[in-house]
Amino acid sequence: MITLIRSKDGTIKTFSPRPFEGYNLALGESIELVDTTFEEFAQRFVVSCMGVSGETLSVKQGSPDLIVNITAPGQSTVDVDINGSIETLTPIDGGFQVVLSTDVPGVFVIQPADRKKFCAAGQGLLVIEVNP
Amino acid sequence: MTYPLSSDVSSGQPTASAHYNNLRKDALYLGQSPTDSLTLGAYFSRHAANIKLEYLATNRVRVVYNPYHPAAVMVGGCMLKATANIDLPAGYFTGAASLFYIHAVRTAGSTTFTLGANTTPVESDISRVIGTCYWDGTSLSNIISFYPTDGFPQASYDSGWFACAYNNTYTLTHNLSGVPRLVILLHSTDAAGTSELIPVYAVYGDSATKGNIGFTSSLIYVVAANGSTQGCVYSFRRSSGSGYYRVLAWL
Repeated sequence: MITLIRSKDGTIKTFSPRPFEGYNLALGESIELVDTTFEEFAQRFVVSCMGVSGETLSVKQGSPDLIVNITAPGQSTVDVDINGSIETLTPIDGGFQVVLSTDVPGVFVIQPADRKKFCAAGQGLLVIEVNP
Repeated sequence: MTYPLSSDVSSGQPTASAHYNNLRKDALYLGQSPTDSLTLGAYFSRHAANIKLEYLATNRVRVVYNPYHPAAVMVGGCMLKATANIDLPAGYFTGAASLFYIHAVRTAGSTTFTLGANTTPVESDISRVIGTCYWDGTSLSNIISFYPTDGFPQASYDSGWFACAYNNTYTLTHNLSGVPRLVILLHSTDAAGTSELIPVYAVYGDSATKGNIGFTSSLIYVVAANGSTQGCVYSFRRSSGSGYYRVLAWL
């Protein structure tokens, strides 16, 4: 059994294997208990690129295109939010992929579009910075 | 005063009362006057050492055995020492949320001890409080030993890993009975905490790098700043706007 903390808007803020008594809710936040393991829930939506997830990936402008991998076991499609734009992905080789160009410096924030279903924290959110 | 007071007795030599009394004084008071010293038994009556209390699934506790630092405790004047792990039997933690006191319990005919748990700290001739833990009604947490092994002690509070993302504040209830003296925030890139662990001292947001932890007698605040690239951890080892946090606190 794990604990989900939902923000005021219903999106999943965080999840933890510990009981909810250990968490002090902010105004509007709510608690939900889910009958699964912490590790299993953490694998529901994982974004990675070049083997990196859970930390910021820095690349140089003009590097080869970035292949971002998304695993979402059991999903036939996933909607991914890239800097606010939503892309619907279909499976490739059992996972999902999106290709990002490094032509322009800036920051990519990649996370699930449906943040009530998936948690945009942990390994569910990947930030890539393209440096000049 | 000379110590020891007693002296060797030759074979065949009659033992005078002074011999006996000096020997007794040595044994009880290390040769000192009874008006200047407690007896050894009274002096060591509160002795306890090397008691490492650990969580044991499910909802139990264990005194971990270390042959180089075996747990030792004096209970009701009896000197007891562990010779193996000592496990609290199942079923002690039930009912509403409460602080529980862990007792070392002696049994006649044994030189080691067993464990008990109770919501009261009252001791007896056969039981002695050696630590506490918190029962929230379903789970056990904050297991604290009053007489830990030498070296850096186990954390009094451990949040476990939880997912983090930039631009969030996480407020944790530590349930310790005071303001922690030390709080450490760790960052991992994976849920199991198997990646390199980074102690978080600073995060980046609003064009500034700042510390991100605060705490009171009941709460620990962790701020993940709004910088997407370094909002959760900003270090020469790693920067991240996501990942997993774990908070450890010592009372």
